[in-house]
Amino acid sequence: MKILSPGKVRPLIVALVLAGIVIMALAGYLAPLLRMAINPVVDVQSWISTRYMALYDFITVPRDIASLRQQNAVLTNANSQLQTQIIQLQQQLKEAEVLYALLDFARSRPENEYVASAVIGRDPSPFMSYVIIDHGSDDGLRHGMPVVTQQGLVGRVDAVTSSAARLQLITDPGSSINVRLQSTQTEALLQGSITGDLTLEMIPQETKLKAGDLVLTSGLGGGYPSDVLVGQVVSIQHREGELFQSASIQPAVDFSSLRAVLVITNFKPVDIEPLTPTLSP
Amino acid sequence: MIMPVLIGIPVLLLSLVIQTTAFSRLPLLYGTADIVMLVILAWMLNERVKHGWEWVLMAGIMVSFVSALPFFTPLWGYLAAAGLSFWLKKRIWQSPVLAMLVSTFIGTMIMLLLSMVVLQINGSAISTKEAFNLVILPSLLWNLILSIPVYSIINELVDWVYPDEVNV
Repeated sequence: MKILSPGKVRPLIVALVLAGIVIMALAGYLAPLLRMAINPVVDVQSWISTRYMALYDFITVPRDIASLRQQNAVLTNANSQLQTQIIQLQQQLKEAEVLYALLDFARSRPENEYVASAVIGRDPSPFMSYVIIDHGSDDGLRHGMPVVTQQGLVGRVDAVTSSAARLQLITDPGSSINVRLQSTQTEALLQGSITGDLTLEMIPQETKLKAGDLVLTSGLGGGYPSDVLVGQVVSIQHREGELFQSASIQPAVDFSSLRAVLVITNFKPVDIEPLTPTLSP
Repeated sequence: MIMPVLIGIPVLLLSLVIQTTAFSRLPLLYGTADIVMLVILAWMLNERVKHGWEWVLMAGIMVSFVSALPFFTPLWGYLAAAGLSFWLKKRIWQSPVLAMLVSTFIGTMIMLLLSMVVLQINGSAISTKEAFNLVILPSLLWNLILSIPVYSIINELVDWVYPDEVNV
């Protein structure tokens, strides 16, 4: 009796062997064997792939470089335009901040009339602390008008043309202003210097000064309105045997970054020149 | 020939604008460069220039108008400095760069010492020692640094205004 002929047994054996292999593979028994067989293939695949991509890049890159260069130029151009815009906007923001501060200051003193002006230059001589502003007699500016910022006193109008004016800063060596110490109500004289340092002179010896005391304009002499902040005391020079003591003053205004100022146009300075005693023949 | 004089107006105005807007805001200690003076010194030093004094007068008047220095001090200072430059041109014309440096040195000293003396006479509280250390010497250094570039630029301008005559 021949149930299974050799021709039918072979496929059955093959099927059983395959089924066994599949079961062994599923059970994980063939993993090391598979790894040993696959790893060289993957390595070869990687090697070929790398070379192929290198070759592909070599062939296609010139076209990409050209397009990338073009894109780069466009983006660089856009970037520089944006940078310029940022700088312009930052500049406008700074100017707006200065103007808002000046506006706040002007609103807080409604009794005064102001003309806001931008500082456009400085005196060519290094000895002179003068600045040039972009408003002149056409805007109502006249010689002697006091100039302030939101921080305090800047100086006064020294010379005027139709569209520009020159201001003498309080730090100029030729500037002397009558001031008052807020704490003691003592009158004194504020003197500028070539270094921009301010010195308070003619302070009576009995006056008790301390660092931080505020210095305001006194209004004496009629050159400046009273009670405008000038600065504060930094150090005191008190020498025995001298008639007066002196003090170094830190100006309230930062003159190194002076961008915009307010000219008080309704203040009429008093010319006391005719009242000054002269030698008569 | 009025052309070189006319060219002087925009050149000197531009120098003055650059001076007041830029260089006066760039102090070295408390000293600043004087571009207008360097321009007229470089102009006066050039061999081919025939209208130097007109430039000096224009520069002096312009700066005197803008500056608060009294008694037209910039005008007298520039005339003195340019006179020195003119004198130097005749003596050391073979070395124009050396002449520029020497005239910058002496011109700066003349200009700033004159300004200091005038201000002291006018009643400003200026200490001579402080003025020397903090203003005059730093200004001198600034001017010497800028003298050669200014000389080169003005030399180009001279070449354009007074082109070399070519014999055919």
